Amino acid sequence: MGAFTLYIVATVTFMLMHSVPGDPLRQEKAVSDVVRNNLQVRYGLDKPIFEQYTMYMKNMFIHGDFGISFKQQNRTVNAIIAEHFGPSAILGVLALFGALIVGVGLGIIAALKRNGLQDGFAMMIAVLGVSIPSFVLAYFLQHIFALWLGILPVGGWGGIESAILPAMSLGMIVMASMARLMRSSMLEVVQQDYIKTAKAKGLSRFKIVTKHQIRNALLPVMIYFGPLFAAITTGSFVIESIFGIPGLGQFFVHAVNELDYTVIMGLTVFYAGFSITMILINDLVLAVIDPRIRFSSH
Amino acid sequence: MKTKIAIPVLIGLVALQLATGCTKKKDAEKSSTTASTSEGSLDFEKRSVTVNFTEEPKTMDPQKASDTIALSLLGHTNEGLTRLDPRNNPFPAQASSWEMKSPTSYEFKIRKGAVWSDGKQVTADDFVFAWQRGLDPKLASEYAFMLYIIKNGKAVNEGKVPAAKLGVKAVDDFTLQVELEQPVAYFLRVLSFGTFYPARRDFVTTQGEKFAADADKMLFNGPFIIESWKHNASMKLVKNEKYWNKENIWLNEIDMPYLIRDVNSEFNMFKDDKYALVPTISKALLPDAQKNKMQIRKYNAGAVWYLQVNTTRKITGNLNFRRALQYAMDREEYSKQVNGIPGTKPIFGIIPDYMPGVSKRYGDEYSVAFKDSDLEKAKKYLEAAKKELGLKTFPTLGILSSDSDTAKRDMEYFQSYFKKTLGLDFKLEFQTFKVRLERTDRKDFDIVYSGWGPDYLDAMTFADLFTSWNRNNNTGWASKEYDAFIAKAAKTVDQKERLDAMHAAEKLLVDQVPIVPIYQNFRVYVQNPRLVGVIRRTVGPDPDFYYAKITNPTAEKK
Repeated sequence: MGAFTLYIVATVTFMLMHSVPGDPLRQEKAVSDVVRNNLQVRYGLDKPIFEQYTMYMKNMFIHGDFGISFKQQNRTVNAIIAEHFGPSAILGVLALFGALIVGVGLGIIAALKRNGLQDGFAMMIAVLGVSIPSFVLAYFLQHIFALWLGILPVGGWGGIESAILPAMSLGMIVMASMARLMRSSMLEVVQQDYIKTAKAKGLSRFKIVTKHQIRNALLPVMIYFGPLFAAITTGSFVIESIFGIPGLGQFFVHAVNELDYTVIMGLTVFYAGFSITMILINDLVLAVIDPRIRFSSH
Repeated sequence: MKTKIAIPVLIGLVALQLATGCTKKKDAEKSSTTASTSEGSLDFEKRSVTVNFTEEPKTMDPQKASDTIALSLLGHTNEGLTRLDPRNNPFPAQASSWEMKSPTSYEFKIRKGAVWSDGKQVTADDFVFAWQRGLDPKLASEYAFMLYIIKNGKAVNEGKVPAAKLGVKAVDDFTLQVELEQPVAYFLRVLSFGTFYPARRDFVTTQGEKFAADADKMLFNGPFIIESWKHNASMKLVKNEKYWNKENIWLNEIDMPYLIRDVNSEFNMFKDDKYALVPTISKALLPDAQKNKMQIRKYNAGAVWYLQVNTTRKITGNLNFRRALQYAMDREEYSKQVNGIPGTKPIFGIIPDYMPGVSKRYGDEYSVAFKDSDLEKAKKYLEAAKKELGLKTFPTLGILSSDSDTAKRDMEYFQSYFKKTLGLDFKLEFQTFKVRLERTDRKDFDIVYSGWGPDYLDAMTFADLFTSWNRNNNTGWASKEYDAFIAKAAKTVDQKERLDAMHAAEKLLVDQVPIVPIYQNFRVYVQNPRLVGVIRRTVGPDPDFYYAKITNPTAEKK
């Protein structure tokens, strides 16, 4: 099923990409016809479109070869993904787990203190987090922590300290949505019968909250986790450009602008494959946590 | 009970935040006291300068390199027969001397002791191989046209004659004979350009497709070598101890530890003394730089910007209509008010003023200027066009441009300006790079906003743009007279005769208006005042650290 999805994604991307106007081989300075033809031969663009398609699919699915980048002329797409996925992944993991811990924490506090001062405070942070664009936040953090306080680097990549500001900028929106999701999920769970049962059993409030309410309220949050993980660890164009992080995010945008066919295809297929894998893992983990999913198939 | 859980959590969170914040601040205070000597962007002791790795080069193959960053890096790591001094005059580099045997024939002596980074002597054959390679249609280099001045260059590139027929010969290891297609006045200067750099047959052949893909797949013969190169991330150049002129290279290290594309962040890195130079700052950053009392420097970026008018379409094909645009355009207002970069100025033709003239600059000796923003004249021409075309009102025409922020700003200005002055309606068509080029090639536009940067320091790099055979002329305008002027200029090395012919061509261009010239651009930048001798160039490696030095911080205090 996953492989089939991947195949469809690759095919659709291939078709869309070739229907975008513009000539991927055209540079600022026009070249002679002979040179142009040679470039076409080099990238296989001289062949009929269907042949290009079958050749590309064969190379990709059988040999795992994504081809050579049109723009960075000496580099294979495989090398680009291999070299640049690392920084994006590290940043993504930091951002995601930071966001998860803080977001869930805020959501829990807000729900327990519903309509109280803490609730208002937590939800204010959540609203700010959702509504401030990440690049505004990034510049803001850069000014506060790097230029004003001088405790973290302005940008660059290397060492854990250089990952803090970009991870915060990247994770803020996730944190905010998690907080809101967790809060509403907590409030929903509170009305469930099993909470009433627990109360009737005479369990302490602490036990009800930790063992029944939080655990069950976490499930909706966990459902988003897999796809979110895939999205956030494959890089963000904005954050990576602002902080100068050699990640994958930049390639998604530049490749489309430059009509770098091989990079567009390679990244899309890689991203799709990675997402599918993450969703699968997520489902398996959920099945372990949530007995309802595990038993529903029986 | 409720408060008992939540409050400690909140207090804990806040306390944690404060605690970590405080300790970090203390650490930073400690390190910032030492930072001034060891962590700043300049290190006098180590002779090291730190700057941004502005962009990953598309390729570091000298024969294929076309982007500014690659040509700048290669200008530091490799070298041609000549090199440009700070005043853009060529001096002997990999060649120790030369002799002009006839206007189309040169003999170069390769410098003894000019060696590759693996210790082997640079030989005449390295140039023969490199130039043949650059023109090889299979290599498909975008900059092959630079080599067309060599005899049979164009024919080799078009696959019409074998590479062996190219007018370059190694008589022996140290003697290189070059035959030119026609006399080339700027020949010695253009030899300093990347496409003309040598390449070693055995090395390039062994590396194959991987040549120049990484630092260890390159050979260097310039003042610096690449010590490390992480793609899209960082690069470090260190002094080449085998370089023939190493005594005159002061810097030991050019460190580019991060690639920061975002202009605001790059500027912040400069403020934080992590970079010693920001090669270009945008207009939006000028007030910030001024507020921080930075010295704002400017240099001539050298590009000319104009509107290319599609002369093959009905309305834009009308000469009077084009003249209306030509005379209406307010170049002064654009340069000062809209563009606003100090130094940017109006241009009325295609050859910018800084190009070498007969004895002074071209702009001091020749001019095609007319009255800027001459609305009366413009309106007369527009009326004439209306009559000729039999129109009551003009339909909305399109202006095509790239989708950059500055292009958007400029286009909006042109739109409102032509509406205000001539009552013409224009639709703005912003397109991505590739789409814009494709539409320009197909002549699928009324007007396109374009710029051209010089490839070498001679009026010809601009003048031949609008010949009928130049593929970058998208106007559909072809003039036998114009072609003849350019051909005449290309046949002689007599500077006055050449420039007279090019100037005549330029006058014709102004009269026939296939383009509406607007401005020639400058750039502004900021540089650490302790870093001196960095050359900013209109043509050639820019920025150029060949002559760069760092002033002694202790001497300065006294």
